[in-house]
Amino acid sequence: WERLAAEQKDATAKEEAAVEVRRILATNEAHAVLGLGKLEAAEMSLVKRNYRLLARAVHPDKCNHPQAKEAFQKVNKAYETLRSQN
Amino acid sequence: MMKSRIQSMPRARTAHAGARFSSRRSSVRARAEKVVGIDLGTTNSAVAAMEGGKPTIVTNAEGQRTTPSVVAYSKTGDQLVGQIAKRQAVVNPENTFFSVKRFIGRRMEEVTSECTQVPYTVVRDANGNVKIQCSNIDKEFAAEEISAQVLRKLCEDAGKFLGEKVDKAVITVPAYFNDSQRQATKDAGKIAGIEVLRIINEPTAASLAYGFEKGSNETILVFDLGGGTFDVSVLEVGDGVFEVLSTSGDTHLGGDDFDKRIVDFLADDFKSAEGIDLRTDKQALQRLMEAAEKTKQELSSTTQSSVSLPFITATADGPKHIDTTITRQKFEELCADLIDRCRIPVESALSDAKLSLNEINEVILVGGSTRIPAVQALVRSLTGRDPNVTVNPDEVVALGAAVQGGVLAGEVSDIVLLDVTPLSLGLETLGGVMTKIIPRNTTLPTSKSEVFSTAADGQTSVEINVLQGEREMVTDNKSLGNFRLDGIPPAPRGVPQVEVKFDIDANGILSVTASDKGTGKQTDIKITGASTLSDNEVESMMKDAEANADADKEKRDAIDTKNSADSMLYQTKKQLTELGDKIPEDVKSKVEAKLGELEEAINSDNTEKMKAAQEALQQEVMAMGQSMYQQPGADAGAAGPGGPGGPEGPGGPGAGPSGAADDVIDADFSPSEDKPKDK
Repeated sequence: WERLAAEQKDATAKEEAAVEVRRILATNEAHAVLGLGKLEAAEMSLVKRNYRLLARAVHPDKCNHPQAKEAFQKVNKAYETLRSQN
Repeated sequence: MMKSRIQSMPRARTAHAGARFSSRRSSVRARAEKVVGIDLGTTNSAVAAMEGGKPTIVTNAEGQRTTPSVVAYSKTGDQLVGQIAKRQAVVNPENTFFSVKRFIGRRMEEVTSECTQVPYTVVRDANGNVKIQCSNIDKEFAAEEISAQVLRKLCEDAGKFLGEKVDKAVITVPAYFNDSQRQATKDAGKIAGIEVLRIINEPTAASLAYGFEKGSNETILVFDLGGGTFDVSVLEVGDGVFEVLSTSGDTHLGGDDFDKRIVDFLADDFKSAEGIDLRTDKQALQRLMEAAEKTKQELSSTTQSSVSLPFITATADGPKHIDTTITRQKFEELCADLIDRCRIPVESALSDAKLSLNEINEVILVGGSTRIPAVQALVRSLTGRDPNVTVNPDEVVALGAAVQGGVLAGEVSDIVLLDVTPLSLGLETLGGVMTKIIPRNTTLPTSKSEVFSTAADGQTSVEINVLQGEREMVTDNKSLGNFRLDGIPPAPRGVPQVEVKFDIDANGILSVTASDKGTGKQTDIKITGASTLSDNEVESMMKDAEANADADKEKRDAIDTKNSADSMLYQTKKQLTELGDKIPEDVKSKVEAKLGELEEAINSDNTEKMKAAQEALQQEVMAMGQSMYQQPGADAGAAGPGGPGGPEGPGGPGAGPSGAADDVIDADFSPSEDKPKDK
């Protein structure tokens, strides 16, 4: 059952990542891509924290969703945008 | 039947324990094969693997933690790799290949100065690429093939150490390597029969090993001065994300260059004293180079070092020697400009990262050449802080590569590495200028496309020249290759729209596609003029290497068989004379007959026959042993009837009186284990 639990955990993580990928691809504004409100996006520490969380979730090395690469590039671009704004 | 079950028991038990272990650590996914991390260095290479959740250096077959990246071919055509190849360099300078990393993925015109620094012959092939000549087996090698031989040894040794087959690896390259050099390194892995899961940058790997267990948030600068290349990377590490902010470097600067300065100094000195240029004598040059490396290393811990090279050459007056002393100060004076060259990449990496020095939390030194006190002093003066010396500069890169291997294998779960492209990528546009499409220090993976048009009326094809580098003009940058897009419908210039898409994968390796937006036609890219091998070449080299490895294995098997046959022949003959007439005549004649067969097999040099004859003789020797015990009251057993190398001695109950001989204990071993189960 231990293995089953591990597999289940894996599957949940995969599902969560897939949800993130879909959310990112459906979002346009930089702050929203990073899962932040407009005001929050002015706070560099929050931007960085969420960027890192998302990078770990959707980077193609960590996530085998077919669109992981696109999602990661979008996250990255959003981060660049907010970084240059702040 | 029983016996085989007993033998398999312990194995079964370990396997079971292993399964329990991995299932308890539920986050660890079960994997079929180990992924190793390989630091394929200019002068030395190292291998590491994840062991119990930690990266660990894997020692080679000789018990060393690093392996010289040297391949040699002896006069008899035998291939030597590693320390054994390095050791014979002096007597075989033209067929001993080292520092090939300086040639990998390069065109001849890029390495004109390097060519003159090595004692082996470097030639240009039909495509203008570098080939290395090996006179002993009369063959030309690509640098990829030489590196492949090093990789093959590293993986074979690692496989022995880890007890499982190793054919997946993460290989590191200098951060400042261009696309061709990366591709060529990947090809080298392929030729060696290794699946290269990822090419990662050396300084990035170093930061991974450094930050793997630290878990703190900091900005670090990695200063990596290796045997042939120099890299600087600035990274931000935190929350398990290793983000490269910028990278810079010099692919023509490393420990080899420091050695060269000492060689030149000694050779010039000798020339002015004796009028002979030692650099034209390959053997003398090789000895000078080895002495220079040793002197340089010594000068890192002492302030002066003596150089003693007796009989370096001979004139009509007799033999000539070099016997001199070099002080650290002299060495620093000889290398002052080289050390100064380390300054620029540090400054440009910092400015690209938009950081000032006081924002750097830690400076990490990587590569053997950072042991040079003058280099450390430069780092101190540049960064205004004492560099971190907690990591082993020779091993940290391989350790980091192993961590990345763990990430890719799913073994390490909470880390991700975000690397960048070190050089801008673009293509040639009208007037011989480079139009950049992906700027340097862009986070990978990335893709970007741009639309171009034709330059003349009615133009039906475009030639696309893919470039990498920072300069404005095409000629100053590295051309990665050309391809054409044909079949554009004739139209006035500027009307057709050609979309060129650049895509860099996580390996930092580029692919380019072009499509005509009007017709939707996409080119089948055939890159020409690249300094890398074509797929066909890689394929044939792979087959070649495999065949050679098989041939080597056969050769080794033949030698081993012959040696064991020889020793068996000798041992049995010795036994026959020792036991003399205690052996029944009929048994003796049988043994002698088999002895004759074995001798004949040895003389005819037939491996298969030798093996068969050995086995037959073994049977007879065993029968002989048995007959000895069956003789009433015989105490002749003491002579050890088990025979040489006989794994299954007779040992029966009569073996009681046989006392001291080691053979007997050996021979007794397996049957005694057998017995309790039999009953």
